[in-house]
Amino acid sequence: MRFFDLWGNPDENGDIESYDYLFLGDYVDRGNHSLETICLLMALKIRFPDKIHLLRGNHEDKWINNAFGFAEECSNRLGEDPTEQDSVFNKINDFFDWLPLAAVIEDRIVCLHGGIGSTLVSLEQVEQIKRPLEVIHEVSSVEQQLVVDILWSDPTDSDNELGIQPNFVRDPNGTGNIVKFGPDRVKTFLENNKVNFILRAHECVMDGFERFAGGCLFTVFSATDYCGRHKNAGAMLQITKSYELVPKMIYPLNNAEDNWITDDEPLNKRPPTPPRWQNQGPRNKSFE
Amino acid sequence: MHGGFENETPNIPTNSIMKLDLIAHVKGNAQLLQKLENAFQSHLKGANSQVSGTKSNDNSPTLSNSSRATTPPMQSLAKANMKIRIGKGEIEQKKGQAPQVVSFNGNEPRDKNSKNIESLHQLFLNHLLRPKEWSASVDGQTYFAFRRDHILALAEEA
Repeated sequence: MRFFDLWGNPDENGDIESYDYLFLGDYVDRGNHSLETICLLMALKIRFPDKIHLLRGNHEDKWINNAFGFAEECSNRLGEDPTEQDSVFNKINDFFDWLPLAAVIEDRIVCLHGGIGSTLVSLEQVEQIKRPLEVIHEVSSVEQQLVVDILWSDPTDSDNELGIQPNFVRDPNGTGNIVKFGPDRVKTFLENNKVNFILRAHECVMDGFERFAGGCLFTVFSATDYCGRHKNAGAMLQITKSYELVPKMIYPLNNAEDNWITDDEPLNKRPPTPPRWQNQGPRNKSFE
Repeated sequence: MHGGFENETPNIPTNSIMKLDLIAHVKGNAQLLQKLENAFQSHLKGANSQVSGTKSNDNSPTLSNSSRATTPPMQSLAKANMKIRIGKGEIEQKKGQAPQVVSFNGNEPRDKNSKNIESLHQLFLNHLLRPKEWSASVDGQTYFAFRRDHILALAEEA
């Protein structure tokens, strides 16, 4: 999610009290305005607690946002040491540990950041996860795997790829903890839980939104021109009273240098996740 | 009054005592000037009915030179034991600390035209929901409009 794109949309007059807004995570990292973004969302949540809903993304994790930009931004812009106990960086990450992992809209639409991975079968599993929650990356329990699945997994590259597949891009070391799930998994999940759609984010898609599993799963990605490199549009989805999902496009503003970290050094050190249309084959470099 | 603002950060109180010449600021608006004069007159009635220049029976003061004479000096207000009401919120300062929201009266009618700040989160909203007013001058690498203690308090409240 990018701050300036978001507030160019849906309109400048503001209609926050008329709708519920659900955000799917990744509020920090990569861009230059993580502090503005997360402070605005926290303030909105306090001001409109029943209208603003924040889910947790894989970057709402101190182990990730320490490496992908947020810690550096706190250090540069606030003059703080992110490792200090009472730093803004740590305090906001404490807040992240309380964010919910999933939401259900009107018993019809399941919303989460990454996906259902290999272990999410029923919504009751999510309800049983206690918070505050620290994400454990070296998985050693079923619940830890479940959390990684929800925050990190992706759909397979097409509806033709079924079952559980390795996720080479996000799991270059082949631990098997981060996977891709096929359309068959999606349909089984929807049937078991008597819901109609899965709504997720986590991957850059060219038009801001993309259908999967015959239209049962939607990927929505609001950040435009991802990392200043892909010229993709962003989108948000409006859900009508008749449960139609209506995409609202957000077009790039051609100001990548103002919004994204575009220097070669940090991008080489922390290479961006390839957009969904490039998710094929292993990467040359792993995350550092 | 307590809580001034720097030009560069107009939404962040400076935690200092600041003198404002309200008369000079509102003299072009007769309605505001009348409200101001009423407020000061009622304050003075309670504090000292013998203040020089006060017309105790005048319920509808008009814009005139005499209104200046009825205005107490700002210092006398600063010395008084007063909490500063910012919108619905009451904010007071403990010595050496940032202003803290100490109470919140939800029953008080809200003035739609008021630009007052209700509380800490409203400080952030007032600034961050108007990115076009400041984004052009912001270098995202070096500048953030809010202080650490404000962000910490916001995260705690969230």
